[in-house]
Amino acid sequence: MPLDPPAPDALRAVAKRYGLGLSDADITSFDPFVSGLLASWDTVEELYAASAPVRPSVRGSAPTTPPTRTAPGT
Amino acid sequence: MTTAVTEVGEGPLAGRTVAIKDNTAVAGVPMMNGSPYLEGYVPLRDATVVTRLLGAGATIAGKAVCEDLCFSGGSHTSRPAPVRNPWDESRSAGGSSSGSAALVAGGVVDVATGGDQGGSVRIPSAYSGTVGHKPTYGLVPYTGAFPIEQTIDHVGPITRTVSDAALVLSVIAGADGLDPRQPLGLVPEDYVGALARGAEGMRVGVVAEGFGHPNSEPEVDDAVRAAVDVLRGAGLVAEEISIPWHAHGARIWDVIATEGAMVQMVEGNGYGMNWEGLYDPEVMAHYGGRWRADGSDFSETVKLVLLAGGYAVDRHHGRHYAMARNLAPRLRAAYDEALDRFDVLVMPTLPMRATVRPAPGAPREEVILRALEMIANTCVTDVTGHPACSVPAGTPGGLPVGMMIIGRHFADATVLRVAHAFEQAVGGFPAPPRTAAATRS
Repeated sequence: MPLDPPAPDALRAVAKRYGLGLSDADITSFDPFVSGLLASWDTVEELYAASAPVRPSVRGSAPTTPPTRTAPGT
Repeated sequence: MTTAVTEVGEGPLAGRTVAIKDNTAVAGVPMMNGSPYLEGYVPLRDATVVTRLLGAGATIAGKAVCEDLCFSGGSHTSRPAPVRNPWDESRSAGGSSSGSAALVAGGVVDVATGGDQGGSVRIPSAYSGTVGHKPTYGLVPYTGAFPIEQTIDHVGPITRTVSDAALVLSVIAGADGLDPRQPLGLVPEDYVGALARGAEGMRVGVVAEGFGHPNSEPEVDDAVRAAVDVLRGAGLVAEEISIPWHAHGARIWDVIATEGAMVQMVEGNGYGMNWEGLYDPEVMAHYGGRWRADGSDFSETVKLVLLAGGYAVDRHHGRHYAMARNLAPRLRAAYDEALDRFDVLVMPTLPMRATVRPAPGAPREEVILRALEMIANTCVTDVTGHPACSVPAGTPGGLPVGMMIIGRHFADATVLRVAHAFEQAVGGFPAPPRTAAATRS
């Protein structure tokens, strides 16, 4: 799943969380660098997809009957 | 910052002066790590490498300024002031071990320590014309140095000669029982003794993907190819090899270094949690308290890390970090396959020679570009953990070029043997003009 480009609001929220003191103009000026850097996330996603383990077709299944009730606190 | 710490008068480093990168603790000596957030912090205990250097008779002449939280390959982000390149004071000395390389190249100290997460030993060595050896991951304990990301943290020597690099490595290598980065059963080689064995007949793989980056200077690629010819003339056998995964390495590093540094270096106040080993509670409290009070003093590069890493983790909860770490063994295997055929691999350390430092108040775009533009070749071996040494390969236009020599895991001695063979073949490495003149007078 490729990473969507960040919306300014998303970057503003991150900047606020770390107290970076960035204005809207600052966020705008960081945007190309953030987007350029995040292109590496897509590459990693593609490389990983090419070598990721395949999900087992059948290996166990969810119980069909309700689990046994246990006493509270155990 | 100058000091003079000596503990014993004898040993392999007796009479030699050392500068310690200022991300590494010397008890009682202030440590700033290039950042206003550490100003006023005084470590209580020595880093392991400091203990070992002092035990070998070295005199610690001072702390060498480094880049802000070590997150810059340029020398313009260090606090309190930028570091000037001894070859051309208007240019970058390289980072993040900027002061270390400048002091060694300028002849102020004999040797220095550096740290390397994306190339920070080798970048300033290439820009400033020194020897910089990033050891195999885990060979040298990182204990007492300020971490960035535990899976890519390295400490190594910066020196004027290969024999000095071997000497310092012989002193600082080996397990300390405090650093989980180090493997069990670690036995360092005899790095100094190995140099006498020479390198004739060794096989050198010239990595095609290390040349011709979009920002590569032809002078750099030409100088390194000429250096390979020098190795051939010294009796080594060099052939070109392709490692396609090399081109992916920087992408994998981007994710690890960004999300990983955000979690450990920033949110984890340097040390993070969940690992056994020696922590520095005092620096965690000092640094953590300060940045959390006001994060606006982070450097532009660390702000970029936080914006990109914060956004990615908000959206995907560290999934890409996990994938990148899972890809690291595949990247390493690509190098290992090449190193099955060759004793060492070589490529330009950096695509370019030292660039002009951004002026104070330079635009953010220039500040970030000059900090991160050069790491495409160096950062890959921080992920794979292979040893990598940068040696001066020429000075086209009066500026040093670095050639990077990469070896098998824990075959640091082989890397140094090839570096030494090159140094001997070219008759030693040049000093910056002013240093050379001072030495002659």
